[in-house]
Amino acid sequence: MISQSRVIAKGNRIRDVQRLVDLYGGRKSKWVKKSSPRFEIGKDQYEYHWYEHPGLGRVELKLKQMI
Amino acid sequence: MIVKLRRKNSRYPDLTRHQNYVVIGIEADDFRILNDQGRPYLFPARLFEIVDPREPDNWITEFGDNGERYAYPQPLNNPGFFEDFFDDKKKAVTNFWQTVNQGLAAARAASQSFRKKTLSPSMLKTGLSLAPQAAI
Repeated sequence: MISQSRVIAKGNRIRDVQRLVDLYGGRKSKWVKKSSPRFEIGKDQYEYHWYEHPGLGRVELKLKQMI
Repeated sequence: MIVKLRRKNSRYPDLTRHQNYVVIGIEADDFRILNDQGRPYLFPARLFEIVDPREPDNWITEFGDNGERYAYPQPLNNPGFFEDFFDDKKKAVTNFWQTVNQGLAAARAASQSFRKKTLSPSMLKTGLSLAPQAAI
């Protein structure tokens, strides 16, 4: 699923990018927010969203229920 | 701006070789385009060759701390806009599609104007083209 992930926001267009830099380090321009493909659990559709920075890894993985 | 994939890439099965894609905006130097499922993700610019470099007049360009470029129409230009879009927030989804549809209409008009200026009447009549046309 991670190999099929896509970037939904990057750098200064991530709302919380300053918080990510303060908390985890790295450069603003290298932080990305990613999404997994949609998948179903029962009748509901979900995506995982998380932040990622080269050399720092993945943080704050969240399961999002899609409408 | 119109781009197409340089070569088929197994990492990106949601993009098609030889297909023209309209760039919706630029975010930290990456291109935001609609993939083949109609989802506006960011893709590395190095994946693409530029078919038509002209950028819409309504793009607002900014540069980040490391010189990376951001360029979007105003309605899509706020931090967090695409996070809201991918969270299915109604206002962001509506604003996105309104803005993209306006942009596609403008791109189509610009493309037709460009063709008329670039091609002779006989070439237009016979359908010969000097410039690739956008898939719009």
